[in-house]
Amino acid sequence: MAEAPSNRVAVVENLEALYGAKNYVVRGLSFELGPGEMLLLVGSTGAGKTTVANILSGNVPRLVKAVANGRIFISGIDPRNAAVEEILSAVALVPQEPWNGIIGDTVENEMLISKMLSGEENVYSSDLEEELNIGRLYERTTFTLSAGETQKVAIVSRMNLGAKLIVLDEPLTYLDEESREKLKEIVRRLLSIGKSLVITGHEKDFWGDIASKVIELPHGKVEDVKNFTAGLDIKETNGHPTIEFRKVDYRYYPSKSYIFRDLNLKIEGKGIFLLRGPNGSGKTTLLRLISGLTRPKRGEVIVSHPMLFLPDNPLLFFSKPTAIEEIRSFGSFPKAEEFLGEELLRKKVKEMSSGQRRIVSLISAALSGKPILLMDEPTVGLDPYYKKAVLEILRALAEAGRMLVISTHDKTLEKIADDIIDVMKLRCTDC
Amino acid sequence: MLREAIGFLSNIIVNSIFVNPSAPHRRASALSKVLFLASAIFAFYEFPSLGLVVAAEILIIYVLSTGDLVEPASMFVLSSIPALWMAATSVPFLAFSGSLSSYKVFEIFYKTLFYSLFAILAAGLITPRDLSRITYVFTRKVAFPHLLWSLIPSQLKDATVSLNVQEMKGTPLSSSLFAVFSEQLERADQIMIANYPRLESKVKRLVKGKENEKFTFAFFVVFSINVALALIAYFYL
Repeated sequence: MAEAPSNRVAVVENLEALYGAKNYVVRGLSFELGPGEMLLLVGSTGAGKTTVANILSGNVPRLVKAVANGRIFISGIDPRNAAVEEILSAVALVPQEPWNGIIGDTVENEMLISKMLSGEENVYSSDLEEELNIGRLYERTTFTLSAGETQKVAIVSRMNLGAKLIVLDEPLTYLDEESREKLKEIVRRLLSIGKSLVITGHEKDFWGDIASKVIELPHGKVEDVKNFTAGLDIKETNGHPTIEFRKVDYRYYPSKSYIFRDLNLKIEGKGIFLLRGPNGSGKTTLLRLISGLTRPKRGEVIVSHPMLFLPDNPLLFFSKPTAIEEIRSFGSFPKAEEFLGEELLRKKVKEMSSGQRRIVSLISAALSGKPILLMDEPTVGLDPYYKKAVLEILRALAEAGRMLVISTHDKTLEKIADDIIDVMKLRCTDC
Repeated sequence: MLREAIGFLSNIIVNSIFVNPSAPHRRASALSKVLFLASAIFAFYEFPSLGLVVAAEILIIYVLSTGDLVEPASMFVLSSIPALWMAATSVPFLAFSGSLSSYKVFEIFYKTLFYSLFAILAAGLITPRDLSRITYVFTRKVAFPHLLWSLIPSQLKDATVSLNVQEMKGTPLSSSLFAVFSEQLERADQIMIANYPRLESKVKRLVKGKENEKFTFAFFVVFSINVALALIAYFYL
């Protein structure tokens, strides 16, 4: 086997990845990265970004049943057949779905596991923890963190491993604007101390100024989403949906401080209502209180009409094994094939990318006919094509008489919102 | 109804064992916690009435540590489920054998309640950090106990969300359970993919973390009380 150049952290030549015998996801991908260099891998939803991340981090073919051909060296090892300890010191993967990247039961233990594995107190880890506000989360159980908080924890715990190459699979997905900027600063700092990074995503403009290389993964998708919602059979709903919080108190056990105290809030009528706030502000908690998943400690939440909840993890929404069955469970979408493609429609849920799951669950919810739709971060991880389509669907739903309550940190949703509720203003400040 | 029951059960399990892993009493030395547990079981085995003393000790320790009754109350509710089940199912057997009496049924309830309580207490007191010190001795891998302790509550939480969503969608219960089961399997796969090198690698050093001396002392005190009471009961009653 050919040796990798000694001054290169990552060498990839003519990489092709395929599922099954002929289903190519990636073809002819080549790049080299030296110390302190960053590759930005952009591509639409389902273009193979996560597959590349999995190949680089040694998950293919060990755990992901795909075939990866071509020449790959990461810090002198071929991750496809290297020993696990070699992979650990060579490459660290932060997954797109942050909750899958956590092992520790508490944030403190999550950090500790990586530090024990790397064998030393990482010199920059404490700075990172401070900058991303991880310290205040130390005693929290990881299963109670918000998606944004989980993403920050997953990122910092990987940094603590001290690997030479860090692969961040769509790291901006759940981060608010402030955390995004902080992450960018951290990436800059990692590059300055000689770490190499591969970052996947859709945000070419955001990373453009620090990426040494940008590779766009091709995907043969129709770029015109115009009028496709005309084929979506959105049922008109009548009535005046209302959600009312009456003197609601809420706190998470074991915390002694209340998130909401004596909260009175009324949301009424059709339209798009955004719950806006930074990571961990309580947006998801409000949705959970409305949906009945969480009960207030005091007070009541009154909801006038039947509702449907789309959780931030789209996998939790599915009740059918394939996309087409999930979509058909509520109604018809004749243009489904044109919009989503036959390949995606036939895919099993477990084979779909995160973005694909999100778009399918959203279409299913749109067809449901429920007057109230609660959505937790419905646009995260979507490429511009799907995002534009989602905005169209949301607007069409609102015009058809639905009340949409959406928790988000995505500024593009503000353009189509009828009302924006700042969650930070609802929070109890002296509890 | 079954969905509510699963949601309730999941909440009670989480609140009994997983909700507050950083509570001071859980940071006591592993030895003191194991001795306390052993002494509580020994005392109860020798003289079941001492179960009331043990229950009081548990309440005091938890209230001193967390300032709240959420965890001990959840533990008692959770342990009463198998106790009620055992007591109820014993009735026909006792009736068939001709030894049915309210005392006998209560005795079965009481003993099951406490043995279940000890099992829950053990799961709640022995932390993944304690367990990882054991796995370190044999394999030098520490991640799996942590993974188990983070996975169980998050899977229970996800199952509750998923069931709730399925109910809103009007999915039949059988499909809901299938969806939840599939989601859990998928999640397990994804966790393995995202953490494979961290789970399978040996650690270079073990960090024990700070122990809470006050609660270490408190556990030794209640251990001594339990042993003394058990011995008194053994020799004099």
